[in-house]
Amino acid sequence: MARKGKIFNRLGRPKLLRKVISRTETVVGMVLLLSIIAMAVWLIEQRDHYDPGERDIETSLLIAQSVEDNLYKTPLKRWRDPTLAENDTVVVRLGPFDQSLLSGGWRAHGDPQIFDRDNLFEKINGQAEQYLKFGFEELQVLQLEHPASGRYVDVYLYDQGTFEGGLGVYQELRGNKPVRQEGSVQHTTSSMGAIGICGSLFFQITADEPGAMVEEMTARVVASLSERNIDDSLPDGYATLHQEMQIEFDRIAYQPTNVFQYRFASNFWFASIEGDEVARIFIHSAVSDAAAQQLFEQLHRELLEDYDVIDSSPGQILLKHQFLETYFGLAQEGIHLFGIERHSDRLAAEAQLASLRLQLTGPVPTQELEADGGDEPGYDTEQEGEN
Amino acid sequence: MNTASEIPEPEKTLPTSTVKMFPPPVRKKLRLTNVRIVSQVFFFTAFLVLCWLTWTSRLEGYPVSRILEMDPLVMISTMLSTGYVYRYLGWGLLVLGLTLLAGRVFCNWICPYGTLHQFVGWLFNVHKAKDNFDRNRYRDMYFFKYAVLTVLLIMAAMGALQIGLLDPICLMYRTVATVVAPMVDMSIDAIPGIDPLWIDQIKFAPGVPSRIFVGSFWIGLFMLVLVGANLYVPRFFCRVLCPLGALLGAVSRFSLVRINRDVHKCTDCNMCMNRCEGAADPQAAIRVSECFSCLNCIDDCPEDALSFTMVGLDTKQVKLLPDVSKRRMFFTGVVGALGYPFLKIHGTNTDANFSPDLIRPPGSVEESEFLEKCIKCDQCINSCPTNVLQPATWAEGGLEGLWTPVMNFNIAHCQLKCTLCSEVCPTGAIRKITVDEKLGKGEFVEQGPIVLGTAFFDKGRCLPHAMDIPCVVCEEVCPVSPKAIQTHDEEVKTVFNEMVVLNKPFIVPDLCIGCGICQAECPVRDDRAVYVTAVGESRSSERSLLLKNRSGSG
Amino acid sequence: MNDAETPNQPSNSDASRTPRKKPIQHPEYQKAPMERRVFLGRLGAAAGLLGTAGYLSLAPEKWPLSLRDSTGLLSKPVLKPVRLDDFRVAKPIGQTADVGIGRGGTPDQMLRKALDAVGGVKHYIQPGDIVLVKPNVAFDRAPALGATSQPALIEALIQMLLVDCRAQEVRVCDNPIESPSDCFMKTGIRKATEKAGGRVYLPDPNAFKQLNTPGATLIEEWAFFHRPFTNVDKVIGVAPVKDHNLCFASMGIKNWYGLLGGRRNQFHQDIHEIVSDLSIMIRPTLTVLDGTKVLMENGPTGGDPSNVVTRDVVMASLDPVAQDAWAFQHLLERDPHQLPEYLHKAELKGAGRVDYEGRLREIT
Repeated sequence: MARKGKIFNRLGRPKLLRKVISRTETVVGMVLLLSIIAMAVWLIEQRDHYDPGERDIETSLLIAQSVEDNLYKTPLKRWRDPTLAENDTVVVRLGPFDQSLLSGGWRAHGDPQIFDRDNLFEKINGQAEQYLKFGFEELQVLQLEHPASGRYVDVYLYDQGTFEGGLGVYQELRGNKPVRQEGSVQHTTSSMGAIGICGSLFFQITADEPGAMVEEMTARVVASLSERNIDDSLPDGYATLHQEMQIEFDRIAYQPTNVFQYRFASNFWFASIEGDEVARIFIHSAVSDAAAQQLFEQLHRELLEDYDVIDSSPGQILLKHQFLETYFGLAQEGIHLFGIERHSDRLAAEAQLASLRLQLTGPVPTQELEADGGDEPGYDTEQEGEN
Repeated sequence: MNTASEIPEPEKTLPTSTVKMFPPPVRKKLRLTNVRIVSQVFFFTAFLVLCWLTWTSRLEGYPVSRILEMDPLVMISTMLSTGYVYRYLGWGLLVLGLTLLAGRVFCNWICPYGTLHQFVGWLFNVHKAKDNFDRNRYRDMYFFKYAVLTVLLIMAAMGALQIGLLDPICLMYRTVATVVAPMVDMSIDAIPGIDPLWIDQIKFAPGVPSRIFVGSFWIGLFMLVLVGANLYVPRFFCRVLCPLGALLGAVSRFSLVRINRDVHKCTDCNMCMNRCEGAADPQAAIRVSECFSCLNCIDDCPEDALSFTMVGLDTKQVKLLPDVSKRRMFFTGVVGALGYPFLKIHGTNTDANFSPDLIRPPGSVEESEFLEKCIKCDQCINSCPTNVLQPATWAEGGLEGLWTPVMNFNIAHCQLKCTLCSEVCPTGAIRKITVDEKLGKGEFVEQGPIVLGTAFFDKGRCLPHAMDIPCVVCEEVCPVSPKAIQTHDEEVKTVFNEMVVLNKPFIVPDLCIGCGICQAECPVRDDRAVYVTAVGESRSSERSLLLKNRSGSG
Repeated sequence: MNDAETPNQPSNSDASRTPRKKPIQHPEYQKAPMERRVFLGRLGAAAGLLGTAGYLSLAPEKWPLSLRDSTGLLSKPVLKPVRLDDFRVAKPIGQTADVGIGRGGTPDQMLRKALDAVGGVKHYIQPGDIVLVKPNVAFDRAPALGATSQPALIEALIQMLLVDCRAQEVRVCDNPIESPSDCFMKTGIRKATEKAGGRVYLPDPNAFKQLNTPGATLIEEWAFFHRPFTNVDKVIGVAPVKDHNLCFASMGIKNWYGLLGGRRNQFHQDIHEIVSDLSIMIRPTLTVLDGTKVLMENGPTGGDPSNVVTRDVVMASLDPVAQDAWAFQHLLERDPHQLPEYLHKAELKGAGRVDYEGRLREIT
């Protein structure tokens, strides 16, 4: 019977009843205790401090047996109105796009989408800023599909408002790829489409997959645009550089804002000099003489931060960079502000400056021009330098 | 353990120097019953510490599975089922050798489960000595453990290893891993304001969300019932059920030393039965097969009539063989032989009808071989750093596979560069593999990575597929390179008439290794939109999915 | 009560029938009457208890100490949200650079150059500060695979903080997608941290608190790995530069994703919004971008060294948006006109400016 009212054993051991504990037992007990301690020590000794990183594949092995990443790249599958049968013709308003695009099995996929300054982000999210910077006004996107082959081509038509806006975007996106001229269209092609400009219009053609069909469609778009009549009036700076100085199109660039990293400077035309990697001439046309004068002085002041003055005369200064040792020429004449930057040779830089001045003010010789005209030999030097 | 013989006679004529060397208080302190308690505490603590060490940040070469590997029943039964002795299982000979020397010392000196039973029995023992005489007398039902052993060994020899259900070490490991450790961890987490540095030190599994184990209630209840049975029959499990005890009991007939009773001194006071752990009848002919060598009877003998000494002094006073008749042996043999087909025809775990959730950890051998090796100790589950390994329930494994490790990808995923489960497995059910082998690099390039299963999409529930909502967490987390979940872009018009471009995911089955991270991370939380099933596992040709080296497989 | 039937006084006739073994009541039983004072006392106590209980349970909700909850809404657990401090430090007077780029040399030297370019680490960390360093330990990849922060850089940074700046304590924490314990081991971050003298904080269920982020769209209140932020003075993010399957690039801002808890895998439904939210969730003292191993594709998990490009760039910045924009263009070599949307959103939320022009300083 259990003892009443108790749950737990009295926490103790019963009295030892035997009387004799032999020496052998004591010795054996001690030996056993020692062996237990030995086991504990052995257990602790087993620790080998391995680095878990060792339980991994050798990087050299991974490099040796690297697998090519053939990730699945299917063309984008477009949404289609499920109510339309496969060969239904869709009546589409083509807007600014030419009817000639719709032949040879191509058809428009819905109406062109139109975006303006406010919702351009919805179409081209991260990229929108770039177009807005160059005076973007409107984007029309036409999607063309070729049901027989399943190919798609998108034509983006950006109205940049002005010639320089279109040119600016184009030159920035083009990188160093070559320019092809076709009528009034300058464009650059790739296997997936093309980009180009036509007056104030900038266009971009992108396809889902490269191929001959895409190239053919690109040619068609270019042709349709090149027939277009564009406003011939070119901005002064571009006209000076391209038409008067005969500088090729692909060397001309336009920067709308933040010129030379200065917030107050905007709307400059640049042209790189043949045979020189970094040096560029630039032209800016201000609204008035006074504005040009003010910009000149402002630039002059700011440039002194990094440059030392080498030569200075009214309306013209020549500066030398404190560390890079390149020359920066800056001059102002009437509403024009012009100059040369990052040129490594002082004489050549001065000559360029003089020739620019001649171009800009040539038709109306003035006293100041004559004063600078004395540099005409320098012009020759520059020519030699170029050759 | 060494032989311990005690010869009382020369004691009286000991030289005085020896008496001085070991004065009576020292002898009393160093007597073998005290040493036995130290040994029990040591092995019990070592058991818990080894469980605690079985964690990714602590495994530094410690032999965390050694107590399992020392279990001779594991050695003998896996040898019967597979014909070989895996890795460290030879350590079982240590315990067998010990038994040949000194009887079932394992049961009362080493076995942590025996220690637990003895402690619980002692803690709640409020009986008088006279009642204890009856409680500790040999009873007929104690033969049952030999029947259990026979049935389990016959089944093992036929190919169904079920010793893990009742083997004390496996049973205790399983309970600690899936019940005790997570309970302790959750309790530690609940302590308010505890220093996180301490948490990392004392928790069994630091640095993971609270671990859960499906069906651990039944494992805990099983343990609780067995421990609770001590209140009615002292050391119920050890005396009635333990197959390891039965094995050692059968072996101990050859032991060199045993309890010996000097009939001339004995006054039949029965005090030796007061604390007899094994119900071995020390007051009469000692049953060697039942004696745990706890040596309590020697302490309790007021006449110094009992001693733990060499065999052969008094052979008539000894019962060497277990109390099993030929008829009983015959019937248990029949039960064992029928038990194997009985388990198999249940058919939960056959190639014809296996559960899609029966996904074995990487390195597992082919399923029928797995069932010949797995002892359900759940050491792998204890080592798993993500909690993906779970004890199989009835639904996944049937009785045959009950509490074997399966992967539940709803809970977690199999970490790409982890092979811990294979390192700790004592029997090779999960063969020891390297990361190179797991991922099919180096010399294993031809063979390819170890595939656990194959992922599938439920396009009716997948957000991009069913609801036009962007998601593809699955692609992000897919760890193989190149990714086995890739996407194709599709422009769709949503119900709100908005055009969106969706990345719709799809599976490249040749690349999928079935690690399940896509399922674990899928935001459709209940019935996952991407899920892994067992088909396609590389360990079995019967359960494969894709034709190997087929054209177009890249 | 009738005496004859009282069992404690058995009569002879009872005994002649079946005598009880024991009397039910003791023969010496005496009735003890209750004193009036005791009775009143007990009555008072009972009334007081009942009254108090009645007040607590029945008094209208607005009354003081009332426990009443008539709608069942009061007992809804309220998680008190916490807010993070602004950890930013003003840059040295006269300095224009917000983004520093260090090139060339060991990771240690590159880091030092990058920090010097934004004014030197000593300007930002005062002696005695507790500094939290947040690396990216999202996966259990070897550092060479570029999916996680480089341990060499972490070690250099912690040493710099502890030795040069004499910071009181440096903590390192992350809540990876895979098993935290394992990820910290395999990426080598734990070893690097412990070698340098820092302390690793692993996430556990109680380490999270609701964080309130004013102005955030998706995570105005969200579970946040807050424990390591207790008493922290300065926070430095150390992020690798990697490709990301959904938001194109995972850099300095996306790194803070590793501090979120809860159901964060929902965020992929609006990834750009969440990353821009992260940019204002925490205002770090400095963000360090580790450009030494750049995961160019197959991100964010990587796994093949062929996807990794080695560069000699470490960045440190006060403006994570500008930093990410620069890294996107120059380290991942992506089209600068297709910046991830989240950078623009982050700019709108006021985390910084995408335009890094004029705010860079490079030391080689």
